[in-house]
Amino acid sequence: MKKKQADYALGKTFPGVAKILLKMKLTLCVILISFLGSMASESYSQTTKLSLDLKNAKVKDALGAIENQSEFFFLYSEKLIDVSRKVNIEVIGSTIEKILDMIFVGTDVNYSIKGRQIVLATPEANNIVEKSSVNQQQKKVTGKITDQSGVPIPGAAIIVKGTTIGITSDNDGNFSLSLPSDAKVLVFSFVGMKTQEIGVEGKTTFNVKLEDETVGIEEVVAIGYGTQKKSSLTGSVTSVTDKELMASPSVNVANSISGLMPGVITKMTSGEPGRDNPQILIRGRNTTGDNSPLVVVDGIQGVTGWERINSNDIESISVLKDASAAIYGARAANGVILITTKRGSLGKPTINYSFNQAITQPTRIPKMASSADFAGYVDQLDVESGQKTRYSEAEIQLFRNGTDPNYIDEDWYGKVLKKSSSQSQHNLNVRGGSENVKYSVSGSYTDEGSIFKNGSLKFNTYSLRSNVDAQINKNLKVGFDLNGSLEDGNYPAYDVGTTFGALKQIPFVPVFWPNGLPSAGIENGGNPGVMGTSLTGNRNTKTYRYMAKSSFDLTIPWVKGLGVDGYFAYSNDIGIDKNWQTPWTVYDYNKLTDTYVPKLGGGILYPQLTQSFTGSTSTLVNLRIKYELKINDHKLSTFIAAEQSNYIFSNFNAFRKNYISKAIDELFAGSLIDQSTGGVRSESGRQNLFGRISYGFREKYLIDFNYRYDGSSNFPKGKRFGFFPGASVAWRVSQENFMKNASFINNLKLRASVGKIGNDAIAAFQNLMLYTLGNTGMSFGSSPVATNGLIAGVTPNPNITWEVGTTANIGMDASFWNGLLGFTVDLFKQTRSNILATRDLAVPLYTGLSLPNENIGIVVNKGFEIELSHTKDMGDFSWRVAGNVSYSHNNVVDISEAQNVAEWKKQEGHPIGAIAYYHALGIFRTQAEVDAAPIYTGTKVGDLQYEDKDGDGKITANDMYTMDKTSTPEIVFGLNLSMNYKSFSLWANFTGAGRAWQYYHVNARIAMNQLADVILNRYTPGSMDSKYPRLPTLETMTEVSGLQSDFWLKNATYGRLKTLELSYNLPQNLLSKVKIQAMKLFINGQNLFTIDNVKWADPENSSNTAAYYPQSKLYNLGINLTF
Amino acid sequence: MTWIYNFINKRRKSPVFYSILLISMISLISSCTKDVLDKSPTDRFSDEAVWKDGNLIEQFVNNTYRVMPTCFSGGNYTSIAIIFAELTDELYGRGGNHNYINQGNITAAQLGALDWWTVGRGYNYWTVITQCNIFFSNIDAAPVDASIKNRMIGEMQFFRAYAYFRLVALYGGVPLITKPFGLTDDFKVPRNTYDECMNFVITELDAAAALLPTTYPAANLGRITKGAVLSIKSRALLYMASPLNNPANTATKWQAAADAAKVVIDLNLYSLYPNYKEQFMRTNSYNSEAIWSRPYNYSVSAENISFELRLYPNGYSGYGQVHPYQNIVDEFEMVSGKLPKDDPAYDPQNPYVNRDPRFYATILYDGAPFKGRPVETFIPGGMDSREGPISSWNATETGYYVRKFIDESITNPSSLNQANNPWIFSRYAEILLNYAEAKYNLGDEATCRQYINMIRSRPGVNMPPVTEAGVALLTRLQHERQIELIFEEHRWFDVRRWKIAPVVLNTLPKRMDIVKNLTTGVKTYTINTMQQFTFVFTDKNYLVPIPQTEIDKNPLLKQNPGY
Repeated sequence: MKKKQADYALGKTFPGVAKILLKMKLTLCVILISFLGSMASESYSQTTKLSLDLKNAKVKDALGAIENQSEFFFLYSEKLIDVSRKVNIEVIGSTIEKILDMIFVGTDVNYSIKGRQIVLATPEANNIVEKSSVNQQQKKVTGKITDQSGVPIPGAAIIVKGTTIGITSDNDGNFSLSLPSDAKVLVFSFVGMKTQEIGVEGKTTFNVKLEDETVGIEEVVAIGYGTQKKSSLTGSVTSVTDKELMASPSVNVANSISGLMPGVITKMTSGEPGRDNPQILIRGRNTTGDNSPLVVVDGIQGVTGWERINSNDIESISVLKDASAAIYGARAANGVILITTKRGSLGKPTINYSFNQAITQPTRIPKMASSADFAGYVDQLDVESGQKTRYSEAEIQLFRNGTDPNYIDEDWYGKVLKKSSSQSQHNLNVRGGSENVKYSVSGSYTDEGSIFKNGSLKFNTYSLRSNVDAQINKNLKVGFDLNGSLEDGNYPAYDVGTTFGALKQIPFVPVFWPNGLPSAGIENGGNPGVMGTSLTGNRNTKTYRYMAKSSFDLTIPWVKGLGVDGYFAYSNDIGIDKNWQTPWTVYDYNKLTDTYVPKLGGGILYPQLTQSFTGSTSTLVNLRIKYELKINDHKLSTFIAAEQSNYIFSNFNAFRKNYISKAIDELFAGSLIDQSTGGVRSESGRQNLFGRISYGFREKYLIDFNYRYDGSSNFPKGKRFGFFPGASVAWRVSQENFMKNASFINNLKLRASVGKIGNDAIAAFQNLMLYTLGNTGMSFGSSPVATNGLIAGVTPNPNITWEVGTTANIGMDASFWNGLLGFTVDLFKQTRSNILATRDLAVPLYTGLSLPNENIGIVVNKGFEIELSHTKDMGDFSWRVAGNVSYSHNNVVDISEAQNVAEWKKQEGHPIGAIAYYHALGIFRTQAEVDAAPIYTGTKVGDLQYEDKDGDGKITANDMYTMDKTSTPEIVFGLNLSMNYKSFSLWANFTGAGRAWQYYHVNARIAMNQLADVILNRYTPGSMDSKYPRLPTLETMTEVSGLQSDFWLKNATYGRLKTLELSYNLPQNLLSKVKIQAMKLFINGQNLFTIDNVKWADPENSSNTAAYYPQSKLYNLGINLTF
Repeated sequence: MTWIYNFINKRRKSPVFYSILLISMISLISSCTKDVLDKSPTDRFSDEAVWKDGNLIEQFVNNTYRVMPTCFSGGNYTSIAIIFAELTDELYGRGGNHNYINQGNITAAQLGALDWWTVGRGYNYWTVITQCNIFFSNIDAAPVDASIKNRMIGEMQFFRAYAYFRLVALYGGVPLITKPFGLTDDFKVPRNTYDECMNFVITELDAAAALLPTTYPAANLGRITKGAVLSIKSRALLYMASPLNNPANTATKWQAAADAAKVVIDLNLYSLYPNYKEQFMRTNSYNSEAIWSRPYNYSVSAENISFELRLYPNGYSGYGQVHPYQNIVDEFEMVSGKLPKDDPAYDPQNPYVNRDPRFYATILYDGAPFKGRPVETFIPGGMDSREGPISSWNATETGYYVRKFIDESITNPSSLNQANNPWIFSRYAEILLNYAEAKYNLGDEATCRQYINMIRSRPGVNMPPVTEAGVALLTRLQHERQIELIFEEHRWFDVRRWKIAPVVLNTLPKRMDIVKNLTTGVKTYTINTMQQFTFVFTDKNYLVPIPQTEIDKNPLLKQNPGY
């Protein structure tokens, strides 16, 4: 009863909590029921019945056949057990003991079965030692063999090099061995692990950590609703592991994946802490609509905030690029990013702590014109408009000298921004587990500062993530995942874009007057030296994310291979945005009276506060029935599943103004007059049925079929459900008998897939005519009272449904000479039809229609990905080089364009985002040239000359033509190097993009400075070779040289060193004394250098005025401790 | 709990048990699946709800009030203060923003500030028309009290008519659309003729006038009155009778215009407000002269009408965005009733004395008292000159700033700190001038003079009466309208309909440069030309081109001549 009361109280205070508790109880119930139901327990070895029919087969193959047919796995050393011996086995429905007895009859191999694990050993090994040691002086050594995470490896072989003397490790990984006196080196080996050789001199204890074999044939990759061995993948799936992610000092995972996965395009368009999520595209653009991929974290779809999961907590990231994504149906057409977080593993608790401290710097800061150069430009403008020049030569010289305090040459960027800022990260995690319970608990903290001097901008994240798996009995496994995080962003009340725009202030005015008072800036007191600080007030955004997931996995005991699993997930994101705006004071200096004239900045007279609260809640229920069947060489696995999700969004906001005091920034303290409140709620839901059938024959011929029958509340009845199938096949040529002789080929696989996938990323209810009630009416009356105002929404489209992508992929994976050469190539084509777009290119605006999305467009996107790798292990020294190149080119086939548009101005036939430009031929240098050429009206000497595309003798808008130069790169590449020498390792990731362009509008006028390059190289009267024409002065593109032309289109191709890491693992013998298992020291960096042609701003910039928070360069020092 | 465990444990091998378990799990899940896909919007009102509820319908009408473009909202209003005034010989826009339009370089592909067709969907005539069409296709069946219903019908008829009137005045005949389009409709409709459109406008205005009250109770002030409708009807009929649209000079058209103006006058509801300058202030909203004004109130509806921020001189921390040309300064008469050029009392070195009182209410000139100090546009060092210490880049380029419309009590104007003056669409002075003009064209010069002089003798102005006759009277009439209604977005239309644009708009703009001798304090006044901003007007510029994008979408739309 007590507990109930507590729940009630909690629920009363936080209504949402009651709901959470209820749902949790519900889930608990499901799990409890299934748990109780399967309390049965019998040993797996007794219940499992195997059938084998092997003639003259190697022991190794026999063991493999058992592994394929069951969940048993063998641990043994090939050095001790002769597995190439031929045997004949013919059994039907026999137990494992019987079969093993048959296989090893007549040998001294003994086996021990522990659950599903079978260790093979020979007593002979010890005998050898005994025999050979009779007459020799002996030295006894002991040790323990574990894997990287410290889990003991039983059955590993320890052999004295050059002898047959050896032993296998016991179930706890321990061994003890007497060495002959001439023993020099011990060889440690285990299947699937790298062999290690260690000198024996001076040592009696060997604690050896064996590393996974990197060639990774048996690497497991997450796919939709499951995992698959990389060798038996049929689709185009690329993945990256924690190792690569953790090498990057970025706190934003999305910025760490750049260049690591072929086909994944990232564009980091801002470096602002907390707002630096890059744009991510899988295989480029496929639609004129929403191109963002679906992100799935641990089975939960559409997760927001995934970018801020600590990289220490991520096991792997996989990307489904082709028909393999069809299992996610109507949301999968832009590709699917699957993130798997780390879970517990067998072994004693391992405590891991990592700390990173970084210095961040902008990658590039625009270099603005100096006062002297800018004054020259102002004079030129004065002359051109028939006025007297403002600055004499002598004055310009004074600006240049910088000796006269009245002639200031201010470096606004330098004065407002710091040289560098800092960033730190902490992560502490504990992982471990027994046969019954495995756990992983991890906490992280990050702290990011900004580059504003005295800036109030900072961003912190806190997260706690706990994944627990429990094996209740042999049939039932349950899991509980809980995580919570807080993203706490503190920003100046002024939008940083505006602040960066204000850095183009004219250099004659200082940021701060000599007495320290801030100057007034250009308008509204817009001095960026103040706008970046807390003088503007404070905007605090807090995002709390909670997720609880419980899952179960039940094996149905009496039908072999049949199982049921499922999960229930509840997530709740809460956003609190508190925007406290305060007016600030800046000063103009009146030099005639020598006074500082105060001026209020911020556009308001008194403080004001806007506070909003948003909550989004989603629930996901998933239930799946799966079945696996292995008969001899045939392996079939299939499942059918149902899923349902519900999403509720609600928001509440309040506003008060005219605060009489700055002291308290809470709502109550504001004026009661003109306060306002608002709130809204919306809901959506999805229901689906989906499944997969995978069939493999001897792991040689693989077929995979997956499908989803998907329904979404976004669409009207009758248009809600769609069927999305995907099929893929693979042929592992290297497994064929005829390839057996080509032993240099480790793997050769051909793949092909085709599928239908959808994209439903649009606003809901576009099938209905809806009216929004807003604060938009008029204020009638003698003392005005606001009316709401009801705004008509979009014209209903009763036929609306999702986009359909038909995707095809062929690919090849190959690996030669044990990894000396690895090779993957994929060719793809996606035809997206029914593209959801508004028909605004074709519908005249006089219709007044507020257009809904309609299924109108067709886009074809084609491309390829190539990945080459080279791995070499020379004992102490090993390295891997992998390079990838991705190319995608899309083409708008149909977007319902206006019928009358000139052919060359059409968007159809060009990539998405391609727009029409004038083609600049050069700069007019003489009046004669202007007179002789077709010109844009108003052209003067010094303006740009354009191509007369339509040949009508004058330059008009009809001469613009669509150029295939978009800001989305068509080529991206990555070059990853890793080198290990003894305890040192080096990791470098070079990334880059090609076939991308960025348009810049560089205008400068009396009130606005511009890049030094532009001002210095502008056209001045008489110039015959100026780099730039007469400079545009207006924001609008209406002046002759400021028209939208390809002259201002910059090739944004770049290559950069995205990540570099040098790390050192401290020697174990040193650490064991202080009870530390492992300690890694590393220095790493991000965006360390960039090669490009843009120069004006970072090549990943996407703002045509370059007014944005620049991308960051990071220098980081870190330590990673394992206890 | 033990008994449950035992109970289950005993049956654990039974297939029946597992089946029950599975079924119960599935049913558990499916029990919560009900209606997951059947969502209805909770953030917006459905069509059905709206047209059954008079309160919601009224809010729909209220929003239409807001969507109607004014001098700030609508069109391509980036860095524009008073749109039409900048596109004619009244105001220079900073940096020559509209230079290309004023020089006749407007094209169908680039209409700039004259794009009242495709730009600014939030405040747009076509949006107004569509809202009205939606309203009319639903209102008949709406169960709303007849008096409210009729008022709303009248309001919406008026809005649609006014929107068409403005479009026609800009573009000539446009497609006359009176029903909302559906997605599957054929959008390709041709332009209707000028007369078809204007006849529709007049019919609708008549219908609206019949439905609307002459006054409202205090809480509803700001709504469209019968007088507002009739004032626009007066203007519409005047435009229809004008030389541009009445080449045959048909007298009945002038008669209709005269009658329409007289109807407003005979309402006896309106009178000239005693203070010319103060009538535009918020404190005087709904004054006796304002017939149709649009209230603004940032504090309750978060809307901006930033007169102070945009018009204040730089020395007062304004943007000083628009600058009256010397040319219009020269048009303000001396108190003698003569133009400066004709008055020997005019001293070019002391130009701002003894001028029409409206000059002081309209223009901020060097020496004008404003907010406790004289305006200083002189150099060197004038506070409001380009050498001023405060935002010198915002200084005037002609030597003048706008005084009309701004509230002097505002200090440090900003987007949130402003007076929120209303925008007056029509006021009584215009009606008097409309009547005078119609009467003149009907040959009644005496009445014409009488009504002009009513304006000239308005309290606080008291300019000597006009006595001219014939063509000279027409010139005085046009001149009076230019001065009285300056910056109120009449000039652009007036010079076209009078067909005097080729004369008045092919001019060389001028500015005033004032140099102060710092030792003697003597100012030297020099008028200089702004050669590079010379206006160019050709016949095609009588109308604005139809945006090319619209013609691309609908080839049935025929472009205006010359584009």
